[in-house]
Amino acid sequence: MSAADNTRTRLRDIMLRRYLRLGESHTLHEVMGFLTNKHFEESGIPFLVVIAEDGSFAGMLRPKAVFSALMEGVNPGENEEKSLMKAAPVNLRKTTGHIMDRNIPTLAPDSTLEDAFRSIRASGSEVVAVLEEGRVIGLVTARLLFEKASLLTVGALTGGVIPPA
Amino acid sequence: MGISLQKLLPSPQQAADATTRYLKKDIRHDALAGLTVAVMGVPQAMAYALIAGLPPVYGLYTSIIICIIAAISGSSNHLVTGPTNALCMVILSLTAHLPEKYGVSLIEIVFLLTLMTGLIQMAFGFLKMGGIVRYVSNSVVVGFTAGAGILIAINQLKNVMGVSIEGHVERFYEVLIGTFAMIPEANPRALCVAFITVATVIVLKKLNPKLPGALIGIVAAGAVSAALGWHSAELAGRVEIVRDIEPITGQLNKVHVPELLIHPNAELTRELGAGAMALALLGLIEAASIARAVASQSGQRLNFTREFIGQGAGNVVGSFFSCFAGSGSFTRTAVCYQSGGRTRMAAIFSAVWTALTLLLLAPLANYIPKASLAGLLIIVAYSMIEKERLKLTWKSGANSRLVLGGTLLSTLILPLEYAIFVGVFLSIVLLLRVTSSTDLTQLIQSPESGFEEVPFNKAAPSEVVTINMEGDLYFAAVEDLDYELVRCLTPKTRVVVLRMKRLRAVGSTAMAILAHYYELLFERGIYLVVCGIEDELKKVMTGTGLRQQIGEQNIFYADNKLFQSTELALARAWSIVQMEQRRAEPVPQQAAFTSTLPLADAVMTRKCIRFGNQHQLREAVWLMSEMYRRKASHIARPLFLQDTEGRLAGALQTVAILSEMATHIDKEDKPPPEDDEELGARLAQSFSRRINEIADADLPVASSSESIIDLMRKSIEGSSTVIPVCDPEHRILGVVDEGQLLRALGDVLNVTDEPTDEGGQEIVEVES
Repeated sequence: MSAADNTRTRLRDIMLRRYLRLGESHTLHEVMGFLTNKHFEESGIPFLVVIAEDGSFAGMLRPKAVFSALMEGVNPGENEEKSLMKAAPVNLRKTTGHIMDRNIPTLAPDSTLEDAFRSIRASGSEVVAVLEEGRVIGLVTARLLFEKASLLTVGALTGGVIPPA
Repeated sequence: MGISLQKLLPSPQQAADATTRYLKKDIRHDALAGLTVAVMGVPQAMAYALIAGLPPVYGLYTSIIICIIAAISGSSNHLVTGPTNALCMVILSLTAHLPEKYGVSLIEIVFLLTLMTGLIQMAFGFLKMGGIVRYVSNSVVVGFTAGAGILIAINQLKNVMGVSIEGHVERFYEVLIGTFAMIPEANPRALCVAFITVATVIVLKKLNPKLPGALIGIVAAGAVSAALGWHSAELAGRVEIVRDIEPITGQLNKVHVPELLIHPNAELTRELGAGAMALALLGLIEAASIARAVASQSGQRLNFTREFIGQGAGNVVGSFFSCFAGSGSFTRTAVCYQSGGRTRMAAIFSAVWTALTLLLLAPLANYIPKASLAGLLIIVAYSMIEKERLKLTWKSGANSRLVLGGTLLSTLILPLEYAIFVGVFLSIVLLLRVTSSTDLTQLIQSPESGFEEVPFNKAAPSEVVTINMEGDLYFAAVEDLDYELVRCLTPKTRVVVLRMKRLRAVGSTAMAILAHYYELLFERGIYLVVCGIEDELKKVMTGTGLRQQIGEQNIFYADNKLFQSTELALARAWSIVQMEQRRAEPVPQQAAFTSTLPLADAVMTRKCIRFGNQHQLREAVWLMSEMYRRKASHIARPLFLQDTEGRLAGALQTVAILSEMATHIDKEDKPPPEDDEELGARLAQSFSRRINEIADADLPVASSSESIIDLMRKSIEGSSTVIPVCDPEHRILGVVDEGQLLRALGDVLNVTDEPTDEGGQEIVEVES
């Protein structure tokens, strides 16, 4: 290990280790029942990591995918409320495996910060899954990376906000 | 090498001390014990040679050379090796018919057989196959010994009667029929001599077991016969004596290279091969079991590898000194130990005394009547049928009875060398039959007493069926196991928990069967959860893909704490049941959705930081970092920008900021950053950028009167699921984030039930 390695932050050092885990067979009904818990009002909707039957990382369920699933069959112009209610029984039976986002970028726990920056820049994703032997061991979120970046650039940030001229 | 040899060999001083100590303390005991063994063993050795169909002198030769070599090179301090009844019976069975077939003398065939037996035994020793003895059960040994005893007795009846059976008879029943046919021809003098021997031995054993009954019996019978002139050549109906078979000349063993080594006969050698193997195995079993029995009393720790080599060396060397194959003798070994023999020198002394007997008393030995030796063998044969051990084995269960009976019957009807293999084969087949089933029981969890074990398929119907598997799980044990396991399913069953804690010999066949069981369950819509998985089983499950098939969330690994993995597996099983039940509950139908959809105004939060769009990125980063620092969450809310009029001018998304900062990481003219400090410096290079150049200006905006359906649609369309709600002048009134929207939808769709505990186990918050 070189001296530089000691001064490089690895993703395992900063990654988010707490997240929600669910299986591909969970239905939207179950997921929504769980997410409507008041517990999440304060902290916000957490990251939902979907695990395949063999324990490997399958994808992530993001709110956008939930909304898309619920909006299936809701046609603009009609009575949308009625349309939403009509489609709901079918939509709520959809499983996580069908609606989740499978294109989540992944990195190894020993990857560097710049790897995470590159990954987010290339994918536009707000989260990178950290995998070890195919299994999720943590997440690097845009917020985490932002917070780390603000720490690394703290010298340049001195001065706060300068009122516009 | 020099150093190690020095360590191995005692120094001259040490050797001298040991010799002095031996001469002082042990030699007297060993010499006396050796004498006792010789007194008992000389007539026995001569009689055993008779069993093998050989002149009695070869029994004496075998008692001398093989005994000395095995004592020196073997492991046991008390084992006396030499001719044994069972081995002699096998030698007879193996060789009796061969001289006629190959035109080679019987004794030369026996020497070759002895050499082959010794070589096989040495090979077993050098290959460290001492454990092979374990595969021959007590039932086999008891059955074989009893069978050999019967054969010996029947074979010697003709000698007791002093008759010869006409023609070549070999089979047990042939000998028996031939002997009975000769009853009218029985020689009364021979019968009398045999009777005197038998009676003397029996009476003396009752009066004083320490007296050498066999020797006294033979001497008494010989004396009566000689005194009455019954061996006289002129007498019609005379008694045959040892001299008539082959005179004992009073010479010790001479070096004699077996003829068949000088003039090999490949076919004969091949024919002897299986027999030599049986003889070697039987000899080793005898020697090992006898040595072990004595060692249990003496406390000596045996090295079976060395004992095997010792036995083999004895036979190999013996084959060059006119010996037939020998092994550990139970009677001589027991007498040696009980007579105070302390070291292996006692066995050597017994050989020396036998040699002296041969040298000094050969002329007298020639007058021993053959019927007397036969009478002695009848007693030996009777003692070989160990009634107590037979009774014990018979009572030890059906399998023991089957092995015992099978071996005994084989001994009587098959060539003797095969009988031992039949016994071993039967033992192994029955062992496989016993182990070829996996013990299945069911576990019932109760809050009061933990787990209760009930017979398989006897538990009350339940959603969760817990099966405890124990025993072997190799290919023979798993046949139909999948269908067997299905038997305990009821229409109520939703999850099967397999506890596999104490399984042995798990093979790929078992994995295939379990995989099929998984499929059978899957077809029925039943889940499979396994627990108590130990490392070895885990490896096999991984290698065969079963682990992946079952799914990691359904596998619970063995723990030191009893039933811990079972408890976890059951918790998982019940959570699956409850999940299933929830799914089975009717999803709210259309009629239930009657509420009016909430509008953005009702859902949104008015807390929202706005920032001027003329600032630099550095300022935005500073503000956002402060904003994040004050609110513990993992959600990266965007920073909404407004123009100087207070109108919404876009949103600065965190991902966009990071992407912008990342543009300076990889510069064509520079290598990647070497450390965090350099990375920070490169990230900061974007700070001078205007945020309105980075911000998302076309973000979807909602009005306060729009419904949650509109909000959802805008969330789907936009880059963020946080939707700004603006007034008609495009000023921000508040924001609706994904959590607020989801909760509102949950209310509308009637899925607002808070997750139960069970649900919490299903969708779980984990910390890696």
